[in-house]
Amino acid sequence: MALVPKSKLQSPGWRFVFSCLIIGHLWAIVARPLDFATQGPNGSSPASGAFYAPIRSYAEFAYMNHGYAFFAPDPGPSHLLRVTVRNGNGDSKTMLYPDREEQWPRLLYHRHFMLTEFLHTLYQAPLQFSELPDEVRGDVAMIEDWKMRRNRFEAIRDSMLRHLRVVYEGANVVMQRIEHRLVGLPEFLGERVRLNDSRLYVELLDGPPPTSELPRFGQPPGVGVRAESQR
Amino acid sequence: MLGEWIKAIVQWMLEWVQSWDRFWFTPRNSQTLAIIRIATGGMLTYTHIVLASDLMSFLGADAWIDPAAARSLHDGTYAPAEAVWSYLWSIDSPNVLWMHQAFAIVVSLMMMIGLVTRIAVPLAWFVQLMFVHRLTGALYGLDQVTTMLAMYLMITPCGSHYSVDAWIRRRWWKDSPQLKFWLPEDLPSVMSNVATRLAQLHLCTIYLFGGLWKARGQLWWDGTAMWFAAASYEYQSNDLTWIARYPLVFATLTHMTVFWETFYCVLIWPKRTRPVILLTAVMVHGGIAIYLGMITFGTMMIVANCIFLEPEWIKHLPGLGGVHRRSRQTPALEEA
Repeated sequence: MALVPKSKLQSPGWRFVFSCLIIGHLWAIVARPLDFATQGPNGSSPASGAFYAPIRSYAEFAYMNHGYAFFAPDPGPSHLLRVTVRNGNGDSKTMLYPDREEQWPRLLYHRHFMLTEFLHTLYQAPLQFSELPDEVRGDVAMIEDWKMRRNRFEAIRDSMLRHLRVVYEGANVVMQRIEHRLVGLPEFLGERVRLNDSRLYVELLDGPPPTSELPRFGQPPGVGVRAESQR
Repeated sequence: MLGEWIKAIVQWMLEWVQSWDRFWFTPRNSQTLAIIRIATGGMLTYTHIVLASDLMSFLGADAWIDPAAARSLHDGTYAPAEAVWSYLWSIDSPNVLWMHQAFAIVVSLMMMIGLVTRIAVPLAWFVQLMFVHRLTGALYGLDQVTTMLAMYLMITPCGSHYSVDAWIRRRWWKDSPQLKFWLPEDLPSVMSNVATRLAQLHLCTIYLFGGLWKARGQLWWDGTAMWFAAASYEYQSNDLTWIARYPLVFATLTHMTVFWETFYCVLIWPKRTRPVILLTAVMVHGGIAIYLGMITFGTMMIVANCIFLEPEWIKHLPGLGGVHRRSRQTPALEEA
């Protein structure tokens, strides 16, 4: 130890100050993943939300606000964009984003892949007020939240459409959300269905959710609809 | 009787404080951090160069997510406002964006080679923060790990080894007290230890929640998750679908992954289990890099795991020890 020069950090006062900073940082490391892991259909658990709230700003600015749910809870389907471009002559061309042949190197491809997944994550079905049951119509907070989510999805979708129109120089662009479903083991081994079999690509339509009941905090499992459900 | 109880509690608390002190404030050499600095700086350089290959599609006025839309994702327009800001929300001039990109590449390169490290690493971290707050939607685990590592590196003297700074110090300013901060000597440092401990605990948290999330899924329990990961066409970079014929193999790998991730935070600390856990990390992330198309992410996760390698071990690696003859030993750092 004699070789190690004395520094300010070896005085008790500085250690106390640094210990407080360390505890604050450790709090930020743990709080957001905990908050994320405890989320249900209507937000996180009140306890973990309260635990995260005081440190939230720091975690957000330092980009530590992640859930770390890699390939979880289960590996799922991929979400892509099918883009059809029609020019003034009536010629059309269809592309799928992401595309390994078009976007290279792999990191650039992956950035495009994350964008198409992001659009899917943001998806919120349009709200048709007339189709809502009476008890839900009175839930102003839920309705407002729904509208905000839908507006957010539309803002990002429209931004992507504008980008594509610029890239394809003003051509008529149609964008479809595509779900590329995973092939099961029996189909892969028995029926020899390939990973990129055309039957596995399903268009996700933009429409209201199929059921009328909406999730409420404290409801028993199995009651309520998944907000991200597709028709 | 009560007095003895109080004495025992005070003794326990004193021991607790001593353990805390030892864990956080024992000076540590910086060779491990220097290696991580080189890898993180290199990866940041690469990510900025790749972004430059399609810069306007990601940062320009007509990007996939344009500056106004990117801002609206954070400023409270659609959800509670976040404490997030990026000057890139306000820049749409191609010339300025290109200059900024060149600046980001130069700063990351400086971090990698260890030139003016005390300035280059905090700058590289800050520029990276500005990118991640602008590129919402196009990010993934790679960005989380590189930002995390840059954040911890910037508080350390990670330029004291394997760097241009170290070369300059040895050659010209060996004993200059004025430049001690800017060209740090290769001496054990408390800040190196604080950053190492924070990064280690951060990594443990990442794996713990990664494991807990998987434990919520059905496919990670019935053993088929590894097959479905292999069957994801968009992720695939090398064909792993042959694994479908070996259910025992993919099911074992599935269960091992969940177990390893969940218990990483416990098994990484004892010296007897650490090599096994680190070797598993290399295999898991190597597999992700080779088969699941995320060579950058897989590489950076392996780099992040290097935080558990002792600096004394690093400096004895061929080619890394001979140059730094003056490195000094720290006392035993690990209790486990």
